[in-house]
Amino acid sequence: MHFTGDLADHYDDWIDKGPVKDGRRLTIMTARDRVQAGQEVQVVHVVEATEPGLDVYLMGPKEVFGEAVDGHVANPLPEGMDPFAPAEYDGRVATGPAVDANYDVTTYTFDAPGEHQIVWRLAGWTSNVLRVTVV
Amino acid sequence: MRSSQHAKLEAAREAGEAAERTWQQEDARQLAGAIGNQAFARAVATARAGTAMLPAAGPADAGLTSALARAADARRALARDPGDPPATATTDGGTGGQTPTVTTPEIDPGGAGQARSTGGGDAGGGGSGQVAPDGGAGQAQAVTPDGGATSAQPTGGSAPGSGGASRPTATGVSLGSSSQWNDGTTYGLITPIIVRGTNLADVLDSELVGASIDHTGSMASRPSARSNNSGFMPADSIPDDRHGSGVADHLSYFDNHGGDGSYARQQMDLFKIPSLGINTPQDMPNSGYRIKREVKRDGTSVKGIVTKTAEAVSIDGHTSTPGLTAKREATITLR
Repeated sequence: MHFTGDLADHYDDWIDKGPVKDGRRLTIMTARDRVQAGQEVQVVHVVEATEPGLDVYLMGPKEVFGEAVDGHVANPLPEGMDPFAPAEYDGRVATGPAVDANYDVTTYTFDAPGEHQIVWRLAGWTSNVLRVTVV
Repeated sequence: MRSSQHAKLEAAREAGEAAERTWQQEDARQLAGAIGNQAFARAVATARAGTAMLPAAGPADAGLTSALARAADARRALARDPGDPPATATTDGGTGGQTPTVTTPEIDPGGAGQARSTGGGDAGGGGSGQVAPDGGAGQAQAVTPDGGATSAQPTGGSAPGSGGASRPTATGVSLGSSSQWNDGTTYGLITPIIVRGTNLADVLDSELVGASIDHTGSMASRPSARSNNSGFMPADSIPDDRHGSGVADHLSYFDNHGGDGSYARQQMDLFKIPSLGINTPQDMPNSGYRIKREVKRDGTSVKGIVTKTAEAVSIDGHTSTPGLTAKREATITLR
């Protein structure tokens, strides 16, 4: 089971957050940005509603769509799907300002040495960029 | 007595500082320095103020998470007014702190809890567990469905600071006055969530919703939704539940898969009380509900019916007795 309350608490102190657009922003975080070839890199996803009145659908962990690794998106957002408001939903809905870290944690491994970039794009929103160096 | 309290607080302060030193000097240095994460390194500097980022959870980070949790516990204890009597986990005397009351007719008086606390208890109450020398909280206490002997009374409550503090408890979930919506795209039922118990500001609550079950009729071929949870949040400020569906989605099943149909999901709450050392999610009694969706022909129209009914539930290994409100329902014309 995946609980994210503690993580949301510490999101506040992550400096390199994604840019705010229309009252929301996407941020991705990882503990390691320098890894050995083949070592796992885990990415945590946070959506923040920075303005009052915006709904935040807290239930999850939600599937992550639109994450690009070195420009390649493995799981694009399905056409017609609202990136923040699921049509079929059961559970709590907070009203902004609010932070939601209840997303799947994605895991990647890299074999090629050098810098790799991870960025999360949902509809018109783009997260901060994680730069992972593989040695 | 006062000197004893201050001694405990001093011990907690020292434990918190030690935890932070441990984290700063060991885990943080290794993580921030070795991995070269510039943003992370900047945040380490802010840890002196008692805050820190949490990296992605994982076995390698367990020590860091633990140290952070201990430091946070100690800081929370110290954040309380030192003049307040720090309640011990075993104290059950007094009439409890001032407890704002919301006595809605929807709440089953036969339920275990007494009142919804909207203010998190009185200023003199606090309700924190006794802080252990290791910076953690006091010993875990069994939380009984009836809230034990310390439950606040629905119309009572002492003047701020005059009485002892009630032990935090979580005893069930009621539903407030519900509403419905249909905006043409989605429709459904909205139910305010009222966690019952005492000193709810010290209780962390998470909602658990099971995978969809009991698919019938036109919904028999509908893929099962997976179970999920809300994450933990203070039990005195729980946002409303929404139970929504897509109008076109449901009409599509009605039109293309045989007309009437239904499916359901079970729901219950979990709780933690860090101030009592209860850090492992516990099943909350009296929190079980079934959310049923039904599409149904009604003359020349098609109705969408969402019901939320109290029932005993079993979700992903967790169980609960029926919730404290019998039923809420929304009946909406879809076409």
